[in-house]
Amino acid sequence: MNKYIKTAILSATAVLSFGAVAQNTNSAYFIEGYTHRHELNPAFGNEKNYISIPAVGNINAAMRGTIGLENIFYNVDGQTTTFLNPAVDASFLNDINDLSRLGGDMNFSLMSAGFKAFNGYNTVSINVKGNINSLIPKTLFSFMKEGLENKTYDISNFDIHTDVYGEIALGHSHQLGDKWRIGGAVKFILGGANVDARFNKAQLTLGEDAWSAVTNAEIQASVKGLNYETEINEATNHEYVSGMEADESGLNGFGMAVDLGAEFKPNKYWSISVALLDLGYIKWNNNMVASTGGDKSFTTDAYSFSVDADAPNFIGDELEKMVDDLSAIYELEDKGDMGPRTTTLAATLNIGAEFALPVYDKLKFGLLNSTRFQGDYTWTEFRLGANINPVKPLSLGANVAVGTYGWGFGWMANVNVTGFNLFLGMDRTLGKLTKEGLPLSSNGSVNLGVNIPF
Amino acid sequence: MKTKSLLRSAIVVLASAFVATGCIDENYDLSNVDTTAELQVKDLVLPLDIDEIAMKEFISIEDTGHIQVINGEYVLIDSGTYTTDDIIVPAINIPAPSVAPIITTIKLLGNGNTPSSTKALPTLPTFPLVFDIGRQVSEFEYKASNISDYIVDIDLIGANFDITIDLVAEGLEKNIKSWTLEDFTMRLPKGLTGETNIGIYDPETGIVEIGGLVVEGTKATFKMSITEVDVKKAGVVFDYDTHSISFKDEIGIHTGHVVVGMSDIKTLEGLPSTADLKILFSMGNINVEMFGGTIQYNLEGIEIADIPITGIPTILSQEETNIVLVNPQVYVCFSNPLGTNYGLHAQTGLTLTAKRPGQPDQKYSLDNPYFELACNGCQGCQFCLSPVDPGQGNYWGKFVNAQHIPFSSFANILSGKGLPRSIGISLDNPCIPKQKIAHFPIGTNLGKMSGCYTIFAPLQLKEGSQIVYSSTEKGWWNEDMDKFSIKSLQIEALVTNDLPVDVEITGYPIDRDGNQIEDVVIEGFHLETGVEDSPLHIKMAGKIEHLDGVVFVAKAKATGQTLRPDEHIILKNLKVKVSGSYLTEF
Repeated sequence: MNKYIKTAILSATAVLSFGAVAQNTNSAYFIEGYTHRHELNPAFGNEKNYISIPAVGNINAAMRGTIGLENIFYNVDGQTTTFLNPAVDASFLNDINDLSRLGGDMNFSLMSAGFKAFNGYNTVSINVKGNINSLIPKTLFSFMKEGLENKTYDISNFDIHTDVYGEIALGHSHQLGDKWRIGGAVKFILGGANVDARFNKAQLTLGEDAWSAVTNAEIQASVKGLNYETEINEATNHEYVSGMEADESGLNGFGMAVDLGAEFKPNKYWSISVALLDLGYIKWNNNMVASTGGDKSFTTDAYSFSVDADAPNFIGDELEKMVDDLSAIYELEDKGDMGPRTTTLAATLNIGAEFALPVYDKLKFGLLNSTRFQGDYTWTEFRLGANINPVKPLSLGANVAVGTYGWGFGWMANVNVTGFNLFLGMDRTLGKLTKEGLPLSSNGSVNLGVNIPF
Repeated sequence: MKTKSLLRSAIVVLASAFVATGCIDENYDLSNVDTTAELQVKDLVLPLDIDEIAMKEFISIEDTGHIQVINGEYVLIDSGTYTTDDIIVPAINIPAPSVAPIITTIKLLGNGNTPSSTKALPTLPTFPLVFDIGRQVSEFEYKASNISDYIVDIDLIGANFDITIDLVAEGLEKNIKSWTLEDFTMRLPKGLTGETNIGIYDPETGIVEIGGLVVEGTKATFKMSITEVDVKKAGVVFDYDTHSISFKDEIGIHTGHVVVGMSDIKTLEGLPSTADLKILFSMGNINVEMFGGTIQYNLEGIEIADIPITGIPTILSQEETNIVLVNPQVYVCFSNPLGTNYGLHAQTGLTLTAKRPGQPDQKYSLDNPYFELACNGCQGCQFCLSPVDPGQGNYWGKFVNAQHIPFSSFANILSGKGLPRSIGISLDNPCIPKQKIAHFPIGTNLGKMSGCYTIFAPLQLKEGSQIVYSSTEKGWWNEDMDKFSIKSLQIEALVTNDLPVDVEITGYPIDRDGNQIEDVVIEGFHLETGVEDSPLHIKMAGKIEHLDGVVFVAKAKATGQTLRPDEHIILKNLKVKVSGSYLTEF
């Protein structure tokens, strides 16, 4: 039990520490001279050609969630402790959503280049992207903190999803007339790994007359060389999944995607833009499935106890049988490789509006709505910011955001002169950090890159 | 140069901005996390679908145990037999006494000299010659000691022995051929029974009337073969204190004359003037084979194995169990050959001993010191020893004709600190009490007394009986249990009780040192007999930590019926509700 709790806490901490959700930094959407702006809307083009410094041209790492370390850890009498400490009041549960989100994204540009040609601006990028998302039901925390009582605990929808893939993107933006600019990108997706773990049902009903539990869980994993480790449950004589291992590595799927974008400038002060990113799929080569095989249920109704030591249902024997049977409901069966499967990419829709202050057109205000479409992990945000471009090589921006992950403050600074481009920004400032530098909220991001404009 | 300066400034500004977005909160040090965790349990009801609990499931009947189901009732029962050693009253052997002979001189008319010449003419006797013997008696004394204790008094001795008295006229063999005893009587002890070779013995006077007796030759012999001695008449003295016997008297010639007629003379030649008349006595050993009088006899050799108390219901076999049984019964049968053949009855006391390891034995005896095993000569007489007479028709098994013997303290045989490990049965001073006996053989094996016993104790707890039951359930403590802190523990159920008892249940928790955990309140429960689907509620509330176990104390008051296997305490819808917390580190 201790081992499991500890593992859960450490895993949560690891997820919180990983990083983030936006694969791109939305704070840069309206920043003039931001070299990788075309990744936010393929209709955007740069004034200069550029080539990125390999591996450091554009690094995005972000974490975002509705639950953070501050919901897990507390300080009691000068000592850091967890919410399970008896000195921590259960009122902390008021700050936890019914279904908490926790996730992270990373976008790591191996190489990127942009150049003017074909009556437009063209880009070539090779990126590695990854994301991990999880949903954590509040009942898990209330179950652990408030304790056991006679009610139903529904820990369903405790899901974890992760993708890792590479992409080769070829983009082109093109000016149409004096008001429209459109763009698009074709992406070739190289699948790395995909894991979906879902607790479709995890319900524990502690009734006064009977206790029952229903579980329904499934893991779909597409990782090259992945196999599930199994053991025999001595209580049930069932073979169950006890772990997983990958005995080789490499690409494990292929897919394609497109980015589409458009920008409309009705006059010199206004600009309206829209972009649909990562509209595509990955076909994975395998699908290793571990599953409960549908609903597995357990109820104490099925057991009766006798105090007669000679009876077949003598209380000691029956309790042992009950515990054995209970262990069966969390057994996952190795279903093997179910063959190739196709998953869609998490598409992002950006809609932006920008207004330049007429009296000082170097100061602009922008409003961006960004929505990530990813099933249960779908999120959206509105970001309102001000950007200033006092001199040509320098752009600064600050913004506030509100959305699925709450309020946040972002900023971006970009230096762009011929031969050198450096940008640094955050969609979510870190706020308070642990001594180890981890944000107490689960929200934080950083975007850093060095490129060579020419 | 200007560009470089701008870049430098920009980098500084960006780095500062980045750093400025976060600040370290010293309150959060994940390298040193107190992982203390409290998992709470709030009035959690544990549903346990327990089958009906019947009394027979508490009482495990072992094939070799002493709890059996008889006529649908639980009965503590044990049977056995017993026997005495052989009954023998040691024989009495009284050695023959030595009796001094008597010599008296008979005067004849002759000078007594042998006639050696014709010149010396003898003085001729005047026939018939008559000589008065007179009273010639000699004393004797039979003595013996080491008489058995069993012989208290002696009225009659049965033995075969002879008394012989010889009269010899010495030195007259060549002169006379016969002589006559006239008016002849013998003196013997009184109270003898036997036959004489001559004369008639009068046991009242001890005189043998012979009258005239012609004696051929010089020797006359009197003999009496005796079979019995009337001790009082004969003057036999028996001293019980010294276990000795003395038979002292005199025998001899009471009266008589020696008469010699002419015709009795062979020759006068050499006839002496006097002759010796010798009286010789011979008395035989008295080997007593029978006696009449007063006897007592200790019956020895009775050994009855302890009754192990096994197969006792758990609820009755705890250390603190204290039971008062109302009317347990011990049945005794008895076969007494001395009663059959000699009309002697026996008697015995009886003690039951409750034996508990490490405790002094508790002894329980009959109301009276003993009871008489008087069966009027019948075989297999029966007795029922119990506090209350079950009454004719209610005696157990074969003991249908039992006589009741009061045994009030038997009710307490199971009472005390825990049930006895075993019950010892001993017959106290089993004996033939002092009794008159007319004829009783001694020195002979008369066989054995034997009998049987049965302890028959229905688990009948009549009104007023009480079971104080205390059970210590402990050994729960371990490192995990030490992390539990229980605030309350409630047991709820619907209970049906057709046991013949009301039960009052209380208890308290104990810590690992066996000490009662303070400040914990136990709300006991009174379970009445005869209730059906009655709510049962037991609650333990307080701060229970370092729990090692619970001491349950149940006081059961009986209502006057016998425990039966088909009686039940039925618990239905049993629910255990617990509140508390589990404090640990992970």
